[in-house]
Amino acid sequence: MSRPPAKRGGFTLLELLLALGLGLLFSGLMVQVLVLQGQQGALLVRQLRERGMQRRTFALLRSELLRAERVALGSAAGAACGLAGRQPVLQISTAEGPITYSIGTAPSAIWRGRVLMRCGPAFGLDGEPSAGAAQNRVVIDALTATGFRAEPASAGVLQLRLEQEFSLPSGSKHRLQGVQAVAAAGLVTP
Amino acid sequence: MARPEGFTLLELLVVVAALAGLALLSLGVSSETLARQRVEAATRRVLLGLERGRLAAERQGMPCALALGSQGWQAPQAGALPGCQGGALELGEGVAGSAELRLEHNLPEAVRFSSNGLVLDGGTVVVGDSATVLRRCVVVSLPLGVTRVGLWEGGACRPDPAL
Repeated sequence: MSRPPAKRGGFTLLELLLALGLGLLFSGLMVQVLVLQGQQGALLVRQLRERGMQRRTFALLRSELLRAERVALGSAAGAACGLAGRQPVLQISTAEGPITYSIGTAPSAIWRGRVLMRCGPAFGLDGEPSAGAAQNRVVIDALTATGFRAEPASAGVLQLRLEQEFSLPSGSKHRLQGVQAVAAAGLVTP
Repeated sequence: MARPEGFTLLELLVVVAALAGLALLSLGVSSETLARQRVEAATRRVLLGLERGRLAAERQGMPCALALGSQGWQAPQAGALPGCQGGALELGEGVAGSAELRLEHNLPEAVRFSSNGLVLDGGTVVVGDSATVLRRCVVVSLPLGVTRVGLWEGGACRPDPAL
C-alpha cells in the first residue's frame, strides 16, 4: 500500500518575497519616523538658540536706548563708521558717542542672510560703553529683508521687531519672529 | 573518484586576502571618521567654553576671562582678571587620540567677559586634526558673543550647508 507523499516543510518563494517586502516596508517607515524625529529635534534646538540670541539683542538695544540722549529712526547722521551700503535703522546719541544700528549684507561669508550691525563705542568690563574708537560689529544675522524694524508705539516707547529666517540641513526653511516694546526717552519722530 | 572535501590552499588564500583587504579598508575609514568626530567634539567645546565664561560672568555679576590654549579653555596666566568659574574645559577630554588635534586662533591671550555677560574679545578659531582634511572654524562676534561654525577653506571661514 503506497502512502501519499508528505507535504514538504518550509515556505514558498512567494511567501518569502511577501514577508521580505513587508519587512522592508515596515523598516522604511520606521527609518522615516526616526529621521523626522531627528529633524524636529534639530529644529527645536535651533529655535531655542536663535530665540536666545534675539533676547540678548533686545536686551542690548534696551540698555542702549535707556542711556540715549536722542534717538532717531532711519538716519545715520553723524555715524562713526562707514555703513558700506547698509540701511541705517536706529541712531542713538549717548554721552559716550553715537551708536548706529544698520541692516544689510554681511561683512564676511560666514554670516547668513542680512545682518544687524552696531557701530559704536566698545564695552568696558562693567558692560557699559567706554570712551574710545567706535567698533563696527555684527550683532545678529540670518535676518529677512525687513528683519529689523523699530517703530514708535506711543510717546517715548519704541516697538522693536526682529525676524530671522534659517534653513536646516534637510532644506526646510523656518522663520522666527520676536517683538519687544522698549522705553526710548529721547525719541525724535521724523 | 570522489572529490576530496574541504577548500584548496588557493581558495583559502583568496578568502584571507579579501578579508585582509576589507579590514584595512574599514580601518582607514574608521580612523578618518574618528578624526572627524574629534574635530566636531572639540569645536563644540570651543563654543561651550565661551558660553560658560559668559554665563559665569553674568551669574556672578563680575568680569572674568578665559584663555584658549592648545589643550582648551583655561584660566588666563597673566592679566588682572580672574578665570571664569567652571570655564576650564579641555577640548579633547575623554577623547582617544586628542593629541592629533590642531588648534589655531587669533583670539587675544585672554577673552574677557563683562559683568553683564557681554563678550569683549572676538576672533576666529580653527580646529583640525592630522588624520582628516576637515577643518572647522568658529567665528566669535562682539558684543553678544554670537558664534557661527563653518568650514575653513582657502584661508576663510565659509558656511557649511550640512550644519
